Amino acid sequence: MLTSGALSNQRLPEFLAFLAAEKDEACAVRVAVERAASALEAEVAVVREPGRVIGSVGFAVGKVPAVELAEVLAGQRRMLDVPGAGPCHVAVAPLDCYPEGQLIVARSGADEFTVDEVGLLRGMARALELTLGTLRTLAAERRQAIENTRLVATLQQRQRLLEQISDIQRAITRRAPLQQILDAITIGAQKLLGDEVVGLRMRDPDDPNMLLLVSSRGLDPEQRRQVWRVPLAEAGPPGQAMQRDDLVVVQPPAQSGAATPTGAPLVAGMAAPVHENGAVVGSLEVASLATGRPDAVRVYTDADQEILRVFAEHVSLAVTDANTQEAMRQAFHDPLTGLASRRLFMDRLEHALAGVDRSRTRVAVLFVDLDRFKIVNDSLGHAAGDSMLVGVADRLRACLRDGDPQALAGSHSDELHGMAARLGGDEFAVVLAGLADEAPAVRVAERILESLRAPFQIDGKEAFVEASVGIALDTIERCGQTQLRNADLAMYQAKRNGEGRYEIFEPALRMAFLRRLDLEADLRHAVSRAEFLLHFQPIFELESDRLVGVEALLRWQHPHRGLIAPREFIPLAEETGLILPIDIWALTQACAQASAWNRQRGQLPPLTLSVNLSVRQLQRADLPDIVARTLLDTGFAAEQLVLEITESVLLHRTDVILDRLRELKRLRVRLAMDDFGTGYSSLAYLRHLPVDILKIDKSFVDEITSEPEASGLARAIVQLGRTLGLVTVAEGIEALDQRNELREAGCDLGQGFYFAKPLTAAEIEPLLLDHAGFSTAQPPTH
Amino acid sequence: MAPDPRLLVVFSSPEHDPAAVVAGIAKEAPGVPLVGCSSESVITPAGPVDHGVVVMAVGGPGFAVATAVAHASSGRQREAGAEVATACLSRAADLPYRMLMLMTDGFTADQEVILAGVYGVVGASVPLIGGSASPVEGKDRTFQIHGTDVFTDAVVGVMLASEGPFGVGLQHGWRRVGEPLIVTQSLNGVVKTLNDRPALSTYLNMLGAPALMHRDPAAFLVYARTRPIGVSRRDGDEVRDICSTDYFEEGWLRSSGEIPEGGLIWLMEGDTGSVLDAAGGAARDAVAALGGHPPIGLLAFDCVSRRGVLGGEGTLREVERMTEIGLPLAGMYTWGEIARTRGINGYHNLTLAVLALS
Repeated sequence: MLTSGALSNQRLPEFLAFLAAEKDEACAVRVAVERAASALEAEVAVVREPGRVIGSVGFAVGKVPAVELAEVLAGQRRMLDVPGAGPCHVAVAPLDCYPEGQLIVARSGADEFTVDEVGLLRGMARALELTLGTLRTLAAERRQAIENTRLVATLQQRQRLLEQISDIQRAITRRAPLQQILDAITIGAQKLLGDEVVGLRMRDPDDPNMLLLVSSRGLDPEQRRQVWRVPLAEAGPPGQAMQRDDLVVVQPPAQSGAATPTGAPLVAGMAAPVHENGAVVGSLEVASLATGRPDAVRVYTDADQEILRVFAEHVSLAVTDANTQEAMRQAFHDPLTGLASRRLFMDRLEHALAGVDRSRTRVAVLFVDLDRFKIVNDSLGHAAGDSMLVGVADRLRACLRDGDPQALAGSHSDELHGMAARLGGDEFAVVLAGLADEAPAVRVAERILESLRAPFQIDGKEAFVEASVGIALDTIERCGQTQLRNADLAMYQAKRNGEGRYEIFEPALRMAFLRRLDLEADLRHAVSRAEFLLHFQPIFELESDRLVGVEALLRWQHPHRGLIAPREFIPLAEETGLILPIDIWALTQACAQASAWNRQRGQLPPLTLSVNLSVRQLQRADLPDIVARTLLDTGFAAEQLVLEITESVLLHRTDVILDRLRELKRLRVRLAMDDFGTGYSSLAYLRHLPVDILKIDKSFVDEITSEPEASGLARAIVQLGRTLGLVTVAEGIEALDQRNELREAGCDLGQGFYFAKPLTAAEIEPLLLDHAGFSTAQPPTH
Repeated sequence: MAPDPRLLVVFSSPEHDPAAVVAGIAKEAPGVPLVGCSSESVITPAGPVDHGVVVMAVGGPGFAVATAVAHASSGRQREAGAEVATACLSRAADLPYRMLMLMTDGFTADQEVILAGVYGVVGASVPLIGGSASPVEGKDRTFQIHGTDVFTDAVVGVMLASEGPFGVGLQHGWRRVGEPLIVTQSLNGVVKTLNDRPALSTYLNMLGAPALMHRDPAAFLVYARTRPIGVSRRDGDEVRDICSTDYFEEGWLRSSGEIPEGGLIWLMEGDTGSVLDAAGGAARDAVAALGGHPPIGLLAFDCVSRRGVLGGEGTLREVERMTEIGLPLAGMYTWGEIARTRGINGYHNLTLAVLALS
């Protein structure tokens, strides 16, 4: 919930403007208490000094409870009883224009004043001090003018200059550009004080020990260039004023060695600190030069010092105001794309949900996540990535702005209210309110997906990105966080289902997600508890039915759920990165086992061993080293090892993967393309991939004897393998006629239930050590 | 007429001769304090009545009133508010509960300054209720009633004092639309810029208003009537009517209530359902604020502009929502509602303020 409190510092310029309109002290105090109470939504505001209430609002006339007020201020009681309002929290700010003066507000209700609100009160007190100071100066000068007509000219001049302060205040109120305000302040200070040089220095944001000259008068360009950045410790009066947090005056002849920013001898100078939210951030200085008035002795009166303080305080106000406004914009908007921030998005969502019951409409949240955005960032650079995010934001806006009646038809009210936000990274969200049902949300999701498919022009090049969208409608509990989480889950499901698409949240998704979380936790334990085991499936030469190798297949022996097949946990292991240790374990175990078998086979030809490698594994730069070490440690012959990769490697950074595969080849291991024909096969890539073996997916084998088309495809793959000089292996052979068909087509090797299902090491061992070999003339073991 | 009337509150459609109306009422209840004002249409238990007059009599033991009027409030709004408050406070009966009811002229500028004058005298010690008198549509005159005297540009006040508590309910039924806007330049209800851009065009652009609204002041008035803005407050959003073309040429917005510079505002929308719900809610809140004391009647101060959203049928249903509680009801359609129970601000737009008596 955004409250007025979030904008505390923003209220100061308006407060100043109200005070600036007042002509005398009593009116200024009255306006100050009314405005302070109004801005802080308080019942009571008081300006007082010990023993005297100078102005108040909120108590009936003549009924200010001075004693109780004093007790609260002395800490003797916590709350102030305000007739009609009850016990009130109290906030106090010192008011230096009265001896031990205070500006006090009191407010009913349970909520105490926030830090921001107390900060605002302090700012108001300071603004009142400034205004009263100006009014008193004016009043004093008026009195003086009455006493002495000779001073009339001076008064008029000073009044004009004091009006300049009002101009500055108005410039702050108007939110004129900061530099313009700061220049107006240095010009005003020079005119009012009559010194040759005025400089405003602020801490360098990159190095707080250095000061930057941000505005100056009386310096030529070369002088400005010389002193634009100086160490705080060597800055003279400005540095001292900052270190002491007080006004510093340098009068001759005591500081005879002092010099102005120009290096010219200093006759006199003074500097006052500038604050931002209470911290010293800079200094405003004036200096009188020996060259300017060789015979004059410049003496700064109390009035001069007060004037410099006033100007410095106005710098503080302007700087604080400018930074607060910027901070607030940033709080509500994503600085890169200009879309709403997460905070604003959640606020909008909660408000939309609050109206759902009354309006009997629905609210939808669309969670939009870019697919493979990281590739853009990695390959084109972060600047390009940022450009793309800006482009995505523009298209999201357009999707919501374009009043395509067809797309938005079905909204319950005349207007469908939508807002897009960037939640962070490449995550965006859209809230749609006023819906009759989910149909308009689906249409917006489709528009978003469609609009993002068009190429982005980045640095003159075309770049592409797709998005996955999750849609969630309001739930019974009307909780924005829950709805956003539901949309996130639906988006996640969309990604799992293939990216570039949308999914609508259903409660079952959450259950699946929770189950997945459980599984992930179990999987982590499984690595440390050694719950994995290997099964082996024999591979046969089709021509001879001779057993030539085995494929190692990973299984997970879950303590409660029993044996879990790879398709249930490998994708999860890949997503979580757990695949890395699992794969290494499998490779090591399989090599050790196969190595032992080959030793036992004696004169028989050594078995080949096929092991699956995940894409994640291939992304590791040290994979070739790991394989080499494993071969060395287990004594398994490199040329007998077949590493199986899937076509999905083609989706990733092909150049890096290709390099990795070539390194593996240099170890003399062989590479097999698994599940060939099901995925992203590209003949062009296949030619470049250093694979030795094509494994024909089971789906082609299943239908090879019944579907002429499948048979044709299987034959084509075999032919393709031959053309490229690759060995072909058919997977999933379940029947004799399938084996015959493949053998006839020229397929080299085969595996499947027709020959043998995957077996444990103990079960398969007799087959491997059978010197007669295994032939399908004998019934296969199932 | 009730047996022991202590106060008569009258609301009369402006086309009636107010002097004749008060003379007729005074004849029926001689000597009973009478206050009231004009209202475009009046609220009765049977629904809103155009060209009507409604009178509520309040009385019985343990109830007392003190009334006052300040003339010619324009140009001296603060003083007028202070005069009425001072007069009412000085003659207020010494009973446990008090409520100051105010009726002002809707054409008088800076209504909040009148309330500042009142608050300067009574402070938080007395809650405020009331409204600004409304004219017949298209006319430029309202009237306020004090005793048998009829005024324009006046502030009428009546201090209600009772042994039983008073309850105030205040709801509007409007809700935020779209993103917040920063009030970057504003003073005394005139908003010059929003997000550093001209206020009027920014407002219209945010709403996606037809181009005509940017050019035609009359069309803008109709459009803006049901599209107010909301000012963020601790207790929720305060609605501000910006239905004025005083600064149309300059491209600024004008509100009859204050819109603080540096604050956040939201564009607001309402529909028949939400505005009707607010009516029932305000009445129930008012009764709930009695803290269990049995209610005896309701006085409603309902913004004229809400009728623009509700339409004729909806306005009837709105009154039905307030009478569902089963209490006598009288009320008026205002050009600005007064209700202060907390904080210093008590002036509202497009809102319904309900006073429950016990």
